[in-house]
Amino acid sequence: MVDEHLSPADVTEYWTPDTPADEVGRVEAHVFACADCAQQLGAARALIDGVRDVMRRGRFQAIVTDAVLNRLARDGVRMRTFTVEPGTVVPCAVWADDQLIVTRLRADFRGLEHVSVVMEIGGQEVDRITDVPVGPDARELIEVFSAARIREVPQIDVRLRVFGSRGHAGDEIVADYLLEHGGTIRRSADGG
Amino acid sequence: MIASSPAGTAVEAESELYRRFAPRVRLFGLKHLRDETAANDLTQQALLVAIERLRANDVREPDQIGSFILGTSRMLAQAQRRTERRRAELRAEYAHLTASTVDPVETLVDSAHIENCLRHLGERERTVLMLTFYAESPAVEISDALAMSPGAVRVARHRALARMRDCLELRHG
Repeated sequence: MVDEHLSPADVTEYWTPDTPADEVGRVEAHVFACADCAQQLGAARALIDGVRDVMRRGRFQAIVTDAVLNRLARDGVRMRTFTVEPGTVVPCAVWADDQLIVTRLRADFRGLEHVSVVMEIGGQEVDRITDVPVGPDARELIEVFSAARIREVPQIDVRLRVFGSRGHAGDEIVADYLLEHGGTIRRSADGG
Repeated sequence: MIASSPAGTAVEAESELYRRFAPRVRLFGLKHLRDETAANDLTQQALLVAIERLRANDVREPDQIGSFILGTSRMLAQAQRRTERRRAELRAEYAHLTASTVDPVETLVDSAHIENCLRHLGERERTVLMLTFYAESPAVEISDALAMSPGAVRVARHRALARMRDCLELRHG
């Protein structure tokens, strides 16, 4: 007997670590009797595998947490990390074999709302991320860039600014960081 | 058909059964064994056992073969988690049912399209998507890390996956 088809939420939740065993069992019993729902479950999995593949190859930009960085490290993704404090100038560069550039933006982000991160290169805004999720005790934002994309950037100053608001106050600059991008460094043939 | 045929004479019916159920067992394996190779091993084992039992008329309700294969998959997955032992002799006997005769569940979605669609998600949805499906963090952990309720995390991950699917469908025309 095939009962009502699985909902899109059923299909999504099946692939999360939250689904209780009885719910997993219900979905599986249905899928083994319903080819259409099996197809939906397979399509969702293929999409998730595709996202994982893109992440393992370092082809993304996002605000992440240490949980994501830990998984990337376990998957052998080559990451280079820069930790920056507000108001400081940090020299940085990308190596030819880097896959991801991790910037740890330090500041007091506690209680901040409507958070945005703006990137300026050579004084021009090139990227703006809005609705950045921030933890209640956050003193750091972790932004990850594809190293392939950074390799296209010449030697130039890169400014990152975090905007946000607290309470009823309007948006304001919360932190300002300057990265002196030194371009791409290639290792010599003898590995030096 | 398989049950009523002499052993080895229902190759087409066996291949059809394999084609229909192998993708489902593989998904089951990915969920519970969390490893591509182990899921593929489970797929072969479960289907070979099912066909062997059908041939021997050991399946009480052949119409409910899906339930039988699911039950077999559960049992084998438990055994596989405990021992990792293989059933090479079965594979050798049923060589005509190797992976080359099975369509994959889905071909891998084009990564350039995924990259582009990821870029078009809202930041909150992208972060939740990555935490859920890559870092495999439960909703409660994500809600603590991002100051969202667990319910909002569930909504965000469902919406993120739906938007990715819509974006990919749009690109594929």
